[in-house]
Amino acid sequence: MIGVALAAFLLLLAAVYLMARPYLAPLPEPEDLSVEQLRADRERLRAQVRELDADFETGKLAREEYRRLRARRLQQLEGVTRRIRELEHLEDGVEPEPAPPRLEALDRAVEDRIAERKRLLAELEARSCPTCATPIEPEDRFCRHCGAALATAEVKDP
Amino acid sequence: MVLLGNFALLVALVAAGYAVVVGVAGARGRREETVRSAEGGMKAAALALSVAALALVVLLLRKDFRVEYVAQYTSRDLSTFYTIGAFWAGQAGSLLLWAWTLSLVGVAVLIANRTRNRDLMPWVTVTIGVVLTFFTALVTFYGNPFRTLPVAPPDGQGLNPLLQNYGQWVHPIALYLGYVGFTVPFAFAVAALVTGKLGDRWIRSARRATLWAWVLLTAGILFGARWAYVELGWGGYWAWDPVENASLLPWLAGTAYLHSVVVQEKRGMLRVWNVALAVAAFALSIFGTFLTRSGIVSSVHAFAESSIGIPLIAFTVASVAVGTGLIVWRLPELRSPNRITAVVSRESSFVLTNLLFVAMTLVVLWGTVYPIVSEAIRGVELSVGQPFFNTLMAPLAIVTVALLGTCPLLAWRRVSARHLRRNLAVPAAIGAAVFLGLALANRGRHLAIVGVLSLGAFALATATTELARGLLARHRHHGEGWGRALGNLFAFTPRRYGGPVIHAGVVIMLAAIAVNVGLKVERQAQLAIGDSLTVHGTRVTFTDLTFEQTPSKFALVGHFRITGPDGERLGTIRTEQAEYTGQQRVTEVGMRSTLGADLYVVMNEVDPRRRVATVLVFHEPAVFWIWTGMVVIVLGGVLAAWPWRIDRPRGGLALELASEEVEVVA
Repeated sequence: MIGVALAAFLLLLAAVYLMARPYLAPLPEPEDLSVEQLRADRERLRAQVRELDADFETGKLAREEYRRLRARRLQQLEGVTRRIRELEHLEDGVEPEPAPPRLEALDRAVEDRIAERKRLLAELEARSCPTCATPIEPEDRFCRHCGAALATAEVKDP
Repeated sequence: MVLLGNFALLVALVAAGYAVVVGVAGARGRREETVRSAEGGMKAAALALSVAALALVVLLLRKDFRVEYVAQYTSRDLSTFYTIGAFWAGQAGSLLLWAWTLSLVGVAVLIANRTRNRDLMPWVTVTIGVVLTFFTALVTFYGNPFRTLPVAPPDGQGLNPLLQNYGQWVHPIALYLGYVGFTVPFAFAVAALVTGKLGDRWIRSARRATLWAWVLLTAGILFGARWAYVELGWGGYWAWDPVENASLLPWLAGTAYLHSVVVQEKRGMLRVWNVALAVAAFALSIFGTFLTRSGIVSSVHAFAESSIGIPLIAFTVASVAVGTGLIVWRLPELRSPNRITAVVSRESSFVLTNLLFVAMTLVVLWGTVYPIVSEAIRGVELSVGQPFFNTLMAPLAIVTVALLGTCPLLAWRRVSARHLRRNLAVPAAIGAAVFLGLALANRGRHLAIVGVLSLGAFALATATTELARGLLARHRHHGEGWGRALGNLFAFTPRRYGGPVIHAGVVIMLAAIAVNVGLKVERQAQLAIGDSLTVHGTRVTFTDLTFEQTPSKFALVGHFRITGPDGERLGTIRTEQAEYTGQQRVTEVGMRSTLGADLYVVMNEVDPRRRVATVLVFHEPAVFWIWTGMVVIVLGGVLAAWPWRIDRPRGGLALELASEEVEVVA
C-alpha cells in the first residue's frame, strides 16, 4: 500500500516537473527558421540533382532536358548555399573553419569548372533561332518551329 | 496496483488535456515557454501511460482475478508468454496499448523536433494531444482494464485458443503501431494548414514516421492473412471481412499518400491531394478501430459489442470535418504554381495512381459500410459479400500491376517517345514471351491467369531493370563493386530503390493470388478409416483417428497418408479438432507445403464412435509465392524507411558536387 502511494506520488511529481520545467530552465535554442528553411531547400535541391542524374543515367531524361534542368538546379543550389553561409556568419560572428588546403584547392578547381560549365550552358541555352526567335536546344541542327538550318554548336564533353 | 493503474490513467488524461489547452494558448500567444510546457504535458502523459501499462502487466502476471480484465483473458495454466500477450487480447487492453504507443510516438516526434520545425510544433503537439486525450478518455471511462469484480473467481476464463499463437505478438502490435503512426502525418498536415506553411517541409518532417507506419501496417495485414490461413481452417487468407477491410482502408489511403507526396517534394504539385490523403489515412485508422471495436458489423473477429462505437464514429467524423474545413480554408494557397505539362509524364502517372487507390478505397469502404447503411435505411442488414469485392477489386488490381510496369519508366515533365520505347522494350518483350510460353504450355487454357501472369512478368521486369540500371550506373560511374553499389543504392536513394523492391513484392503476391484463386480445388467427403479422397491427382487416405487429452484441451486427431499421382508416398499429415475447456472448438490444419502448391486438410464433423469424419481437402496452388511476395514487400518497405547513415564527403558542397560532376561528364 505504501509502495503504491509512493509510486503514485513520484508519478505526480514527475508529471508536474515535466510541465513546469520550461518555465524554470533555459529553453533549447531553436534553429533560425530561415536558415532551417534554406537547409531544407538545399537538401531538396541536392536530392533533385541526384534524382536527375539517376533519371538521366537510366535513360528517362533526354540529354538536353537533363542538362538544362541540372544547370538550373546547380545555380539555385549555389545561391542557397551562399545565403546559408552568409546567415551562419551573421549568427556566429566568426569565420567558418577553413577547409584543409588540399580540399580548398580542389574546391576551387571544382567551383571553377562548375562556373565554366554553367556559363557555357547558359550561353547555349540563351540561343534562339535567328529566323523566328524560337528558343533552340544546344544540339538542334534545325529550328523546331520554322525548320531553318542552324549552325551547330556541339557541346564538348571534357 | 489497481489503484496505481487508475491513478496513472487519470494523470495521463489530465496531462494530455493540458498539452492541448496549453498548446493552443502557446501557439496563439507565440510563447515558446508555454509551447514547451505543453510538450511537457505530452511527455508526462507518456510517462503516466507507461506506468499504467506496467501496472496492467504486473496484474496479468500475478493472475490477479479480482481484476475483471485479467479474469476474462487469462487463466492459471496460461503460459507467461501468452499472459503478457493477453494485454491486448481484449478491448480495454487494446485501447490502453493504443493510447500508450501513441504517447510514445508523440514523444519521439517531440524529441526529433526539439530544435526543428518550431513554427509547426505547437500545432503538431496540439493535434497529437487531442487524439491522445480522446483515447486516454476512452480507456479511463469506456474500457478501463483496471475495473475490479466484487468477488474474485477461483480461475480466469483463459485466453481464446485462436489467440494462443505467436501471431498474437506480431499481428495486433504491428497493426496498432501502423494505425497510431498515421497520426504523425495527420498532425503535421494540420499544423501546415493552420500555420499556412504549405511547402513540403511538413511532408519531409513526417516522412520517416509515415514510412514506418506503412511498413508496420503492411506487415500486420500480411501477417494476419497468413495467420487466418494457417489457423482458421477455411482454406483462405482474405475474406473481405469488415475487420480485414478496416485495416486495408487506412493502408490504401496511406499508400496513396506515400506516392502522392513524392510529387509535392519533387515538383511542388498535388498539395490538396496530399493534405487530403493525410487526413483520410488518419480518419480511416480511427474508422477501422470503430469497425473493429463497435461490433456494428458482424465479423469473424467477433469482439463483444460495446458502447464504444459512438465516441469512435464521432471522432472519425470530427477529424474529417476539421481536416476538410482546414483544406477548404487554405484552398487558394494550396494551388500549385506548377502545372502538369504533358499528358504522359511521371506527374500524371502519380495522379493516376492516386485515382486508382482512391477508387479501391471507395470500393472497400462502400462494401464495408453497405450493411450498416442498408440496416439504417431499410431495416435489413444486407451484406454485399465477397463477389462484390472480387468483381470490383480484381480489375483494379490488374490495372495496378499494369501501372506498376509502366509508370516507373516515365520521365518527369515530359516523356520522350524514343526513351520510353527503349525503356519499355525489354519488359514488354519479357511479358510477351511469358504470355506466349504459358499460353502454348497450357494449350490455350486458363488464358485469364496466363494474361495476369504475363502482365506480372512485365511489371517484375520493370522493377528489376530499375534496380539493375541503378546498380549498373553506380558500378560504372562511381567505380563501386557490385555489393557496395547495391548497398549505396539503398543508402543514397532509399525510396527510389526501396520502391521497385516493394513493387516486385506486390507483383509476385498479386500474380500468386490470381493463380491461387483461379486454380484452387476443394473437395469434401465423409471418410471412414481406410477411405480416401483424390484432389488434383493427390490421394489423401484417412488412416487413423486418435484422442489426446491435456489439462486444457481434449483433441480428436486425424491421421492421413498422402500419395502422389503415380502412387508414390508423399508422407503423412495430421489434423486436429480440439476443444479447450470453457472455450470454442478449434481446428488445427494439416498441411503439406511445396513451392508449387499446398495440400490443406481439415476435419469438420467427427464422429469418434463410428470413427467417421467429414474431411475437407484443398489444393492450394502458389500459396508459397503469396507469402514470398509479402516478405519482399515488407523488406522493400524496411529498405525505404531505414535510417541510413550516409558518410557525406567532408569539405562541403563542392566535393559532393564534384563527384556528381564526374558522373555527368563520364
